[in-house]
Amino acid sequence: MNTEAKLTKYVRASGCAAKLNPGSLGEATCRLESFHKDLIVAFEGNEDAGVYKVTDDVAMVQTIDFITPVVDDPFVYGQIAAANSLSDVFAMGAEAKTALNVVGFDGKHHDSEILAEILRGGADKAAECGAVIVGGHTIETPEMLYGLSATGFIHPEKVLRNNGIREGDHILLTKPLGMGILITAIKADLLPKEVVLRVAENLKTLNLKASRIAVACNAHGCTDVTGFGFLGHLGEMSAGNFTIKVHADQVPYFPEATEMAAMGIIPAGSYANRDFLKANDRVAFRKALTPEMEMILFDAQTSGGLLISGTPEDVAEMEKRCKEEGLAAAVIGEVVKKEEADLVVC
Amino acid sequence: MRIDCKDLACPEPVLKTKTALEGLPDDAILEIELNSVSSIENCTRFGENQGCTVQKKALEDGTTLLTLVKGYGCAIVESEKEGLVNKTFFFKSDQIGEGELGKKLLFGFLKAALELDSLPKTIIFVNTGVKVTTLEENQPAIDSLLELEKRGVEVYSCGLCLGELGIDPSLVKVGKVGNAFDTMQTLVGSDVVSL
Repeated sequence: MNTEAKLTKYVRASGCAAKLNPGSLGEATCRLESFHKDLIVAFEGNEDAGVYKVTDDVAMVQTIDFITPVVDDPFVYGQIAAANSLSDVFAMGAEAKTALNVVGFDGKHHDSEILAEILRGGADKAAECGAVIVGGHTIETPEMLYGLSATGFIHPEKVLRNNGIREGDHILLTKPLGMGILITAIKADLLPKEVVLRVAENLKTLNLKASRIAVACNAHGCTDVTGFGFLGHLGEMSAGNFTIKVHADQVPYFPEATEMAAMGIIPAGSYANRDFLKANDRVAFRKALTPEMEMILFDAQTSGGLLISGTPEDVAEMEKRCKEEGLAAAVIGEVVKKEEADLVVC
Repeated sequence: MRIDCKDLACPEPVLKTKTALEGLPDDAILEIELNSVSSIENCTRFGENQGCTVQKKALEDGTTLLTLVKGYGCAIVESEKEGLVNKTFFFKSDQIGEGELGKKLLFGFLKAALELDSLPKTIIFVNTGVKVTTLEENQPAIDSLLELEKRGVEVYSCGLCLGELGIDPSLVKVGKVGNAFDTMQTLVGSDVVSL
């Protein structure tokens, strides 16, 4: 991996850990409303993408996401940022078709060669899922940022919502956790090269296959794990309608994240996620976890996996198929009748 | 040595702490000025992870000062706060003695403690004692404890005990969640009154 460009050294926070905290975002967007007879998904329910019905058979899925550098190699950063942006299309169960580059370029610290590499990385990931980059927009910014505004298509009746979960469902997670902590450790140059490569590989893995498996196996609900962390996004799935029981010992994560968390290499975004969920009594811990494991469950993820709900049989089939595709997927919880807290970790 | 890590984003404060600590001899003291929740927690974790004794102090201007004692240096003994004596009240259950009277005694005792001229420095709740600081049924005790805390008494509930009893640490309504190490350190370093 080419780490000469030191992309992560010139930004304050890396990846989705730089996201505005969930409380502030909710306060700002709760006043926004959009109505149109063909608008299927908009602001409500913290969805991953907007969905607009074009014809009775075709709906357009639109999303935008951009992140600050999470690795120092510009090509790999481009790949990761694109995978992270496209994930919102996949989280709706859709196929990505076109995308626009969104770039804030820090020309003070980097030359245009770096920009070319980032864009090449983005195009590479778009091509991998059959999408094409059709243009973009670049401005100079003090901190580097890159992502895609992606468009996908889906049958209007097959949209996978965050809150489509039903009582008795099992929930599958398709990528291991710990990315926020490990990206911060990369920024601090604390990880051996071999671990950085494994982290980067996980980050740039598209959620395309996981999404197709979810669709093929009759998923009820789906979202991707990003800045609000594993528990934060599970909370959105619960939407206060059900309680989700999380089996902490089944949750896949990078073991190196435990070590880094114990050293205090935890991004502020992860603490913000914890404080938001705890302050609102959204989560109850019925089992004593190590402080490190608890922070991993709250950790702000970049390009995280999908959380997919379905009947226990369907989810077992999804897990099997994901594993056949080389994804470290695991059944991490189940949906039960609403209890006091939206999430119960046991 | 004192370093300023205010207004820095993670992982900067930890890295600066690491560099400073590495350059210091054993038993040296490192003071870190911090001003965000994440940096305070992260530097505390780092210090403990490195085997340091970590103490936290809020300064008047809103800054938090962390004091790390490197290696096996003795913990710094803070000057005695006014009206506090170096005693620890150690509660091992959610009542004092058996039966119905036990709960009444607990409430009455804590209320009476408010009238004392000199207060214990620390009150520790372990085993079912952690119910006292968490459950609504013990609100009279919690009220007394909140008042005691205002007067400088440190109140701790055993973290392990909360976990074993299935009580979420966020339910602790007064004081802090303590760990076994701190508890033992307090018990060794003060006169203990077991209740």
